[in-house]
Amino acid sequence: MLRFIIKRLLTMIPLLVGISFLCFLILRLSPGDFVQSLYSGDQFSDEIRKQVTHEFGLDKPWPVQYLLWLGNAARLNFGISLSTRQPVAGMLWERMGNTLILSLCSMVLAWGMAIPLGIMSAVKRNSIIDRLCSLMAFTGISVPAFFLALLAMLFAQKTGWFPIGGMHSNDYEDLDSRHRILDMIHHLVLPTLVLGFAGCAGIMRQMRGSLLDTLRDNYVIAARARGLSETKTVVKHAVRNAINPLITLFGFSLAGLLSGAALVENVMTWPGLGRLILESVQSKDIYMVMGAFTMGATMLMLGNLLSDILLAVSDPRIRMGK
Amino acid sequence: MQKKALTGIGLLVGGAAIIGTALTGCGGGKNDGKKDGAARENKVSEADMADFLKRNITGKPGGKFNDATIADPKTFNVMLASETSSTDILGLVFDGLVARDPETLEFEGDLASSWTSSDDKKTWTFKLRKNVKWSDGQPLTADDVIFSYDLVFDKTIPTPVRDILTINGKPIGYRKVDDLTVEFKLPATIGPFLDVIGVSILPKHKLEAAWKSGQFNNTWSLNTKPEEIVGTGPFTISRYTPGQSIAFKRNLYHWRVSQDGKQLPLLDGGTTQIVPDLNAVILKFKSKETDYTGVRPQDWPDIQSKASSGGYTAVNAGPAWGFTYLGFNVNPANKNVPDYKRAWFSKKEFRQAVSFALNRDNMVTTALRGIGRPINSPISSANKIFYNQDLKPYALDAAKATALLASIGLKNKNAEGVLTDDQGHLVEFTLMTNTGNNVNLALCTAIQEDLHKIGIKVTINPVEFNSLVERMRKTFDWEANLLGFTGGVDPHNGRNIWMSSGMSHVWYPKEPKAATAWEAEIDKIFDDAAVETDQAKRKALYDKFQAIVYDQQPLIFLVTQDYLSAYSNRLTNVRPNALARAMKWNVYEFSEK
Repeated sequence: MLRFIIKRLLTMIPLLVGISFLCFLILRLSPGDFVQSLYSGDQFSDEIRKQVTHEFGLDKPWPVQYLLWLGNAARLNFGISLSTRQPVAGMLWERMGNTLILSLCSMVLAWGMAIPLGIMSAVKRNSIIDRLCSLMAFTGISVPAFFLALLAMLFAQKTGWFPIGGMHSNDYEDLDSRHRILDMIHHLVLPTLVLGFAGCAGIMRQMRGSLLDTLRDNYVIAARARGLSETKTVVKHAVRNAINPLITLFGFSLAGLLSGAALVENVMTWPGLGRLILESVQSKDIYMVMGAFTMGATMLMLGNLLSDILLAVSDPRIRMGK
Repeated sequence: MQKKALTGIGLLVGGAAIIGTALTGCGGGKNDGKKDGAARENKVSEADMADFLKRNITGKPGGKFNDATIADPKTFNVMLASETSSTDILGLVFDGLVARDPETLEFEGDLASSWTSSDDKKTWTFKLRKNVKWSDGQPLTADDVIFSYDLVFDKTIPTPVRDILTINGKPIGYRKVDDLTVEFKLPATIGPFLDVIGVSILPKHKLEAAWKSGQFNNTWSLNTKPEEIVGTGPFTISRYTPGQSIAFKRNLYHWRVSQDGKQLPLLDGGTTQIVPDLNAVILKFKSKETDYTGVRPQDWPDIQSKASSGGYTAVNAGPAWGFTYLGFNVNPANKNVPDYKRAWFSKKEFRQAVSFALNRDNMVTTALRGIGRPINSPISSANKIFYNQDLKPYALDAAKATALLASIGLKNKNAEGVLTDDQGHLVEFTLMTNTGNNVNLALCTAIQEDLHKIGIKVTINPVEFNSLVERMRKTFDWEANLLGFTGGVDPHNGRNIWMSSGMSHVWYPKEPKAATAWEAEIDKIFDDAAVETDQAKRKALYDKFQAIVYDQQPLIFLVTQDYLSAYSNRLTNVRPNALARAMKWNVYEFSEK
């Protein structure tokens, strides 16, 4: 097992280099550059643009720029953001906490709702509950999350029950710690619901489908025939077997922890990574974008690794095969 | 882009610019400001305020403002700030020597109480206000002014002001006369001198060490402790939370006073939330989380109709100072525009015909939802100093347009009703505009319909911002475009658009030498006006300029949107201004009711 993990970690390195190279290539090939976009006002002379381009090393040929970046990144130095002249790592770190709070809450909500609902609608197939769950799931899948976010904002404005986006009230700094937590929860409710609802739908359908498949298997019929209680049959045997695809899904959703909320963050003015990255891409702040993409790719690979490990833990067949 | 001191003109792209700086007041009830009559902290005695600027307002001290802006600032170093998300915030913290009052359009002394010029207008002497202190209590002196101009002329600092203050390759001279007097010596006269001299003055005692060690460009970044950012403006930054908000507190040493002798600003502080989504900006205002906001035309009917029940006032502050245009590419550097098309675009008759074919009233009704007006000059009709009153509107006249086209040989129509030239080329072009701006897109559609009527076929091509800047500045790969420019008071600001050497000379940037006689004439007008100091003569020169572009239509002026805004009735002294484009321009006068 340990060897497997180490091997997987080592294969991540060339993958990361490849991904970062592609990102860099796309960034450089797409039109526009940072200096043109930040200094687009015509009060800035070409001389100033040239000077800033030189200062940031953007006048070097792009393969050289990429190798320089790669060399620094290997030493965990991700450079500075061109627009703020701050270290990229620090800026990402600053926002990461905010995004994690939101993503974790909505992930807990999504999985917490999806698994039991999925099991229920599989067991009571074609019942009213199943129909309702399906309706909810299809709505969740078909309506884009940013649109739900807009609706939630309108809801907050019409009822006045929730703040219009954001993460803290203006007077947050003056509150004691108990009220700070309450204030944050108040701000968290709507974005969590929006993201949780959107995330729940897919997982629920997956759980339902996967469980329906297993429920038709011979060993389930055998378990029933032996007189096992229905609850035991489903929960101990069928679900245990049906869960594998969900573990893989879980690994993927780990990758989305830091980037999956970007659109909702933007609409609901949540001060997370998504917004930062979106702005950086728009302004062609290349080192910022490279830093963020590298982080995202690493998360995706770690998520995959984790889900493989979880699979091995939960399913002896996979362990034996290895 | 545009607010920086008095300088340039920025491409106005995207609906975002309207809200560039939104302002707000305080969310009801949360404010625990001191009751009337409670003593307010005073750092400046009444006697010391004698030389302070008196503003013609009254109000009661205390309270806060709450508003929203669409993006995080990028720096707290005002010399490096290059876009509105930074300059809007730093505008509250720093001042220059003089600035134009956006209401009277007259110059008002900010840090300078008075100024004089020699008879030849080449020597200017500025007297600083007495007893002005930095927000950390250190006195402001001529040394700070000299230091700030030293920074401007340091070639390692990317500030556009340096170019403006360099005449024929020679920087202007400046020296300290005494602690409160600074003298400028110009190598040649500068017509709009007071317009270009308004550099933000920075504290020498805080920044000199960093500058001497070559670290100025990395000083006063977003990580800097807010109390280190020392200014003379009405507020100082008290807290910055990335992605969330910037909090301000009153500068206890500020140099403006109200008519009844109260030191300004009246408010104790405020919070600007960072709200990247324009829909959320409006929702926040409607929920009273913010006190004021700019309003897009599409939100205007709703905002206006709910004003009395919502407890706020909706204001149309008149025409915005920028203009929207339709321009044709005649740049020979672009090989993608065929020669025969460039030949049409180069003919004045063609451009005039297009101009006569457009129904601008209809554009106002459809694209601007009735909130705007047709224009016929790059200079706003609200600019009572420089607008040429004699210009008549280019009224819709399809017959005249057709006749003008016929006069240059474009009269045969094919089966679909599209004009062809004598070699059989269809008269058609692609119209580029920026994505994400519904108003510009609607204007393009209106143009497409209007020109269809006279037999010209238009294909609309919305392009993403980065790509658009590249096409405008580098590849010149476009046939026609529709965009806007922001505008200021002095037409000199537009020299980069109108002079043939300018990099924003839309139809043919950076011409090696003026390509046509009328462009040469415009060049001469701008050169002359740049050194002319007599106001009447400058007005006459720019009148002539407006007449030329009116006749030649190198850019076809379309419409301008009105500046729309709304503010909570909780506040008084809020006076939205189309020139300032920011609700907060007089935030030091805001007062709670």
